Amino acid sequence: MKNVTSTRLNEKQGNYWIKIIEDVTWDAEEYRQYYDAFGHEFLPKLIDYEILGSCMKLKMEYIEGDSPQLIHYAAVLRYLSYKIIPTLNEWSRLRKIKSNHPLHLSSQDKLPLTLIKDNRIYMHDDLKFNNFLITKNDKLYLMDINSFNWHDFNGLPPDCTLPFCQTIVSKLDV
Amino acid sequence: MKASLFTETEEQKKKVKEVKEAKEKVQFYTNEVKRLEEAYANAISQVDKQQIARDKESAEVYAEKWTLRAEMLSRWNSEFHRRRESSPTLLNEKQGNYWIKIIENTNWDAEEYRQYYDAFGHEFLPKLIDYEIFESYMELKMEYIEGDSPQLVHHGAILRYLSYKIIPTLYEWSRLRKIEAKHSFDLIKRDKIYMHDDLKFNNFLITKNDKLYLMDINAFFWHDFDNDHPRIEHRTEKEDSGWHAWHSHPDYHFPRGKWHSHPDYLFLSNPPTGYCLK
Repeated sequence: MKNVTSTRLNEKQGNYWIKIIEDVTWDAEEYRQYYDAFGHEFLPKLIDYEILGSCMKLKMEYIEGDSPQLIHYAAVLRYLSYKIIPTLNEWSRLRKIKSNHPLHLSSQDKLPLTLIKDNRIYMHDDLKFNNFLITKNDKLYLMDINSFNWHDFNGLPPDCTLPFCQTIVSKLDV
Repeated sequence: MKASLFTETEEQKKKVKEVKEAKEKVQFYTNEVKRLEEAYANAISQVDKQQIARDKESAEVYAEKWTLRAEMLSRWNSEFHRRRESSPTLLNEKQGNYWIKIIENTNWDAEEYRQYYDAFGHEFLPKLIDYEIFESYMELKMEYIEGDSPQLVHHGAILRYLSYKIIPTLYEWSRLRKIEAKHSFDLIKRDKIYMHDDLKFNNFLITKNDKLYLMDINAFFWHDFDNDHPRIEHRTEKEDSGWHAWHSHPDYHFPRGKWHSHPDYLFLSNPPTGYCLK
């Protein structure tokens, strides 16, 4: 279901949260742009990142909070449905429009972004209650930021091409 | 039916009480501001003046917050009345092989639902077999789905199914209808999102074969999220107590703007803004 990316380190260091992942391809710049446009309301800020050999070190804003309790589940569900997913949808739409510019190239692949982002959707691929955090001021954050990736969504459902979607459709995998 | 009406009445009473409390708080902090203004004028030492100025500033912030809360609760109450009066459910039960629902709303767009169902919804919605519009109500004849309400163990899967499947199909449907609307005079659908406005775990049903269905089909509407207030009257007592606990906190960041006034988002201090739905 989730992109298989091992996490080597995931801990608070000083005033920041440091995460080291075994994946050098995760698009930190895309995350930053999405954060600036929409995500700052519910995501931790990515302060810095560094590629260390076969790993990537992410330095993030430290958010103090707790995992949602049962009483919060309904609100998290609605917040996700009416807020987070729509912003991801909107971000994907905006990026698609931008990528249609003929000179707009991906820095990673040197391919027109159109090829990368057409029929794709920017999505957090590990949505679960434990990946949310609620602060003392009742602010909700979605964590595990390296789960944000571009996903194939060819033509969109009925036949949702997202593998996790198919899994869920066929069997509720709890 | 009786229980439902009773619950709504109790809920409404609670909301009226909350409005009253919020207005009392507004009065309290307004008085406090006035008192501090006088104290500031009478204070002699600079240190005292600085302290009073800080207290006054704080009281002004609270006065503003409680004012917004009172306004928001009042809006909620009027919306509650409007919704209750406009579309209560008169009947909701199995009859033979079908599920019959009678709603006191003749404007619900059954044809739109059917089209969405055919395109996407057939995977997770009950089929609308037939409908009939009477003078003041509408009768919906739906496929009967046998299943149970989700348990706690299903909540994670529902979260994902909704996020990865249902919401994207609603956006895709809205996008397709928008393209279609550009070639017609259908202004309604040009800038709106087709959305189920009462998403909650109890509106899902799980069959014995682990198939998930989203129920309460008359909650599907075209929404202008900048102006609409999705329905609120189905909140449970449990949700309400949660809402109250979260929002009676004085540090609660009061929402601003129309979209922010959706009560569902008041659980959280970072409420959604309309941009994402345009």
